[in-house]
Amino acid sequence: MKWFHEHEQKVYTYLLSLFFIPLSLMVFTGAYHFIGDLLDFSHFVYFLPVYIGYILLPMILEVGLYYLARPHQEKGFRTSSLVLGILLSFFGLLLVALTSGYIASSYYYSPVMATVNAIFPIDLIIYGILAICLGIPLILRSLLDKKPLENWKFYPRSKKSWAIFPFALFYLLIAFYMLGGFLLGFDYANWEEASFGLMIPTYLIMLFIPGLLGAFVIIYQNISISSLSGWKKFYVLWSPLGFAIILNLLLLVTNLIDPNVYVHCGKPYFPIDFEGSLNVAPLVLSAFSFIGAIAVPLLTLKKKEA
Amino acid sequence: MKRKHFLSFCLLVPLLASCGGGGNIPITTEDYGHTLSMSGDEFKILQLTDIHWCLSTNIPRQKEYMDLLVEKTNPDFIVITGDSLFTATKNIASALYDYIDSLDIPYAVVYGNHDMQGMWSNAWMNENVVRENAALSILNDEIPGFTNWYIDIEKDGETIWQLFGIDSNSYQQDGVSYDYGYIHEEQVDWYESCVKEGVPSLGFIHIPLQEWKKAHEEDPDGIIGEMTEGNSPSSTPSAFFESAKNHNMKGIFCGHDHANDWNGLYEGVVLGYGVKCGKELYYGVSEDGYDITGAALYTIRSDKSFQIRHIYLDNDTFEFTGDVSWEDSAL
Repeated sequence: MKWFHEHEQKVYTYLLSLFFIPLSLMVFTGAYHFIGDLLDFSHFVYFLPVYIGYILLPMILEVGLYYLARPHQEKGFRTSSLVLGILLSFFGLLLVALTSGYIASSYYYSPVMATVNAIFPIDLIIYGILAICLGIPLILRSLLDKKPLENWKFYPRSKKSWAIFPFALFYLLIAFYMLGGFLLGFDYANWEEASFGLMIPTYLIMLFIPGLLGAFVIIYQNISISSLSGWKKFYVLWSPLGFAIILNLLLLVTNLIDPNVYVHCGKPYFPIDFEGSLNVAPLVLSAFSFIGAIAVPLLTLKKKEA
Repeated sequence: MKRKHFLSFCLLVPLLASCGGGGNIPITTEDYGHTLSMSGDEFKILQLTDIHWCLSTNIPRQKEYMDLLVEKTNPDFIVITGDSLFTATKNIASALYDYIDSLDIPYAVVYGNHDMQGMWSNAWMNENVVRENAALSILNDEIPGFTNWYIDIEKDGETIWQLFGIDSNSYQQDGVSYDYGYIHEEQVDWYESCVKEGVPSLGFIHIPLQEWKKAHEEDPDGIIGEMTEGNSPSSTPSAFFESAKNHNMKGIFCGHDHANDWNGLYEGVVLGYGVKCGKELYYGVSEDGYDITGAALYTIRSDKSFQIRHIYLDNDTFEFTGDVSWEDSAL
């Protein structure tokens, strides 16, 4: 217990990074099926446990871990711990209850339908139980352990920072989706297609969008920008925008060379394009790479240094 | 090699390589063909279309549904005309073709616009489709579309019918939107290289050609059946119909528009829709109140005539709600 107290903030930071990859795979899978139902939401009730288990819980966990690893003050940490604990426990319980109910009522025709994966929907019950197992200790930690947070690093935030919370949440969702798609892309990629090479800028942007998030949390939040001077400060702050411009130019060129590049190679990643018959993938990739590349330096400049 | 040169090399080589064409593997016309035999004077082809298995599909129940259609029709060959899946996973796609193969009836597939829209690669799906009973080969060729095939139906060692599966491709970019795919010129050339002159044939595709729209617009009374949604062919015209007409293709049958259920004669060729298999995604309801779900059966005969039969099977009650047939000569 003493060890945990001494390293608690590090533990949350490591978990924040460690969970990002598996959670991104889950969010991609969940979002994929959400997109499949976008036409009329006729299967919303059927898919609800999938949305909770594959999208909502991963989002809650990652956001919660961020606030635990980056508290703005001691009281804020305890509040975050309590809120995260309650949300994980509540939605974990809801997930277990819904999935069990669906199985018991034969709405899900078998405990092992093996559709999303080999053990679906039992996996949803497992995720639910894991969420409860994580949530309850967090609630207890918040309510019972009043020991002061010694040697913790705090990250002051202005009250205005809550205004960007919904946007940050949406960016996280997109970042999860892109990273999940990129990673699963090793399995789904159409390597043998003649236009596969033209997908490279797309893959790079799919990696760039979550990469910016990682860079912000790991690098930009921990550097003292005021201690940098001249060109160094300029490079550090605006290099993401430079990368975004280069990658978007490459994206433009590849889409001009073969306007059907996503028809040949992008279907596993961008089902929304082919459901709505609208070529939105390049716009989403472009918009979020620029939003991230501009937000990172602006947030870095605006941050309050402890 | 310096690091930055290496990075540039890694990025540029695949980028430039992709601008060129693929490798030239010698493929002959015969590689696309398979042969099946007509034992009596008839050969029955069951068309299953727009099955659309997805995450919410009750797979055991849908297998029972298809079992009933197969039992009722006892086909010699099954043709699946596309959109068998919809934003599904590999497990679902495997389950579908495990089932199709387990029927122990020769089958072939033409892809629809949604078949590659799932959590898999093209190569994986091509391998998944070609099982033991598959009467199609998916070749690494330069012809647009994966599922271009033909089957010679032989009787006493002589080819008396040909069946063609032509991939109508999926989509094509059209500014900010996507238009449906069409049968390309190279596919028409390929088709002409596979045709046996004087032998009648049937064609199976997913996306209707523009001729479906023309048939309906020019002679709405000439079509038999119901049209409860618009025809949605590609806006790009295809030369396939003209070629098929000139090469003794007696009928072309598609899927795609789930709620359309008709056949009609257009410039000497029967054009028709299959019957959507199952209720997934959406389906039509006939004027008489039954669901337009089930299958189509084509019986080709040694005297070169053929019959079209539409069988309607309710997806909820599993009761057959209709069974209509037309002789080609009556259309």
